[in-house]
Amino acid sequence: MGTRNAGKGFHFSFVRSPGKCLAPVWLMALLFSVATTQAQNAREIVRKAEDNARGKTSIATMVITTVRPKWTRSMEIRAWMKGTDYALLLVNAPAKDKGVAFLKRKKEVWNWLPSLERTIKLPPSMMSQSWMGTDFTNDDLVKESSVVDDYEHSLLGTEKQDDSLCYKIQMIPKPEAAVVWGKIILWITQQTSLQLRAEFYDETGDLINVMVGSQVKKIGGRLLPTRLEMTPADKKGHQTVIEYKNLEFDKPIADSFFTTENMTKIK
Amino acid sequence: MLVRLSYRRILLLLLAVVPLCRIVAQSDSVSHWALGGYVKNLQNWAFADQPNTLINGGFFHNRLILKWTPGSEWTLDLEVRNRLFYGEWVRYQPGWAEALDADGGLADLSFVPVRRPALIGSVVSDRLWAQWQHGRWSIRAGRQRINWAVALTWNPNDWFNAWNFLDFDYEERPGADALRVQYQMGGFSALDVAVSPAQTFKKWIGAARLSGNFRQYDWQVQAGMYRNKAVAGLGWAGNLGNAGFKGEVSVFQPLDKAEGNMSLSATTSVDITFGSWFVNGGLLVNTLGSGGDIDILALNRSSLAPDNLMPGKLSFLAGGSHAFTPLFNTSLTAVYSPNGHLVIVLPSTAYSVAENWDIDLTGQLFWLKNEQGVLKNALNWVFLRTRWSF
Repeated sequence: MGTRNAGKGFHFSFVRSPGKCLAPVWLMALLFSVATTQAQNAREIVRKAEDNARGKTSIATMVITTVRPKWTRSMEIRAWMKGTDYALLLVNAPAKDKGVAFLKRKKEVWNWLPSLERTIKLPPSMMSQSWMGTDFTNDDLVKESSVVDDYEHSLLGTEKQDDSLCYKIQMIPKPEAAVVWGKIILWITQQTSLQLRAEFYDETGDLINVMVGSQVKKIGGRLLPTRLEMTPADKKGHQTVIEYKNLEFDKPIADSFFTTENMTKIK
Repeated sequence: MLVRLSYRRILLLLLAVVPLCRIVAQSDSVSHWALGGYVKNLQNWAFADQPNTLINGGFFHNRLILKWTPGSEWTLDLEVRNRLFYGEWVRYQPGWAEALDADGGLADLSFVPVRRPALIGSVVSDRLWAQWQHGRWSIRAGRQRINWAVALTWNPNDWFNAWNFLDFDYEERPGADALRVQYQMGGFSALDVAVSPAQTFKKWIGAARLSGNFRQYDWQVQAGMYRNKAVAGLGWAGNLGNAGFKGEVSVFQPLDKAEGNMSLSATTSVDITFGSWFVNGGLLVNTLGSGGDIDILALNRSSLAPDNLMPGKLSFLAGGSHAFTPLFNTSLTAVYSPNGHLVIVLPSTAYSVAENWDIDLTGQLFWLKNEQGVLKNALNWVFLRTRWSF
């Protein structure tokens, strides 16, 4: 499950924008010089974890809880995803938002409001806004960057995380990649290829978010962490928690499933 | 001759249809009922300078949404709007109960069980439809919302069920008694054909819409008949740089020359987000609007016609909203019609008190040019609304 949080598509990816872009130029030179076997191994570890967490398609039911010092709000979502291009999200709870849906197709996002039977196309500038009041932005939903292809990987060593021995891998975005982070550090279990921890840094090297995966269980026929907690480093009492209730992998979903017409009919 | 359906007839029809659907549904394992809705209280105050008045009132508003999915292909939807109006504003609007009782649709689904000088109880069903969907086809019959709108404030393409943007409490917006057939043509293209019959043929609405997506622009072209007028329309929703760019244009040609000339209803708008600020601006051209003085009461209608969405010929809109926290949102919108110098200012603030509890405070302030040509405050409304959703 872990790598689902590290940067692809609709994955509530925790790759939240710190509002800045592009790695410094000096990194480019550094990155091109690091093409070792070790890097290829690190890349394969990330790829394996990613494939495990993502599948070709997935259908998930999850509860997202936004925690603030003075309040919490929860919502239940059903999400259909196919690769990095297609996703459809349906809100099951709270009652007020039941039936609200979001469709992502490549770089476009639409919002369906069932009460007034209305589809609204979201403009690009709205992508940086909070998604339904959570810590996620609309941008997190449409991001097409890949943890495998858009970063240079290097193995920093091994470390224990939650009693499991993990590879500690550093990921630096490729200069041309549309990634807002300066650096991401991942902890992936050696035995089971699960991402249990991720740290997101901005390009000045400051820690922005920490993501921790826990409650590893068999779900959708795969072993995955079913609880993800994302904690901003500088906001006390803030947290977003995702709990997976149900997950199915690799069930065939036609591309025509991801249309604005179908968004209005999904149950 | 079309038979106008009454509540009793509808009930009898439902009693007949439900067991039939049960039989149909037996072969399918997916069958469920869903009940939802809300209870709201809206307290309002209307005040004006001249004459110096303050009128208060309010209403309790319950919406029940009952959906039944007897199988993967069938959906039945019944939604009922129950409102209990009270206070001075009821007393000062004689004939209101009768107006609420008059259902504009083919079926009479309005019922006013309480009629007192300062208390009116209204029950109306604005959704009652059955849908069958199979593969690329979808057919829906009954009172439904046919929303062909793509723009944010005014919708000249919303031919079947136009809506007054000042009627902010009517979140669901009206429905139309209609038959609609949709066919998904593949990709993002779809063809919609809908017909909404009426008591007299001159009031029928029937139209087709072809919609698609080209280079990240949603587009639609429409053509049909709108109440004895031939009508053609075009709509789009796309981007200009980082901003959203949306618009709708409809041209109406009366078939009967005595009913006037060709008219145009067109709108376009741009919306953009900066951080947690959302800003939008737009305009509406309505050739049927008044070029001179504006009748402010025309704005009070609960529903409008798509070829006459604002009383003036030209209306500009500018607005912004800001989310202080995910739970606390404020907005301010201003509308200006140069003809008659109408200014409407709409401030609003909303707070989510708890998981299913919301509270909001909304204002509607109107200024009009007086006989001396000076802009004067004409009327103000303040609404305090609490809502519990279930």
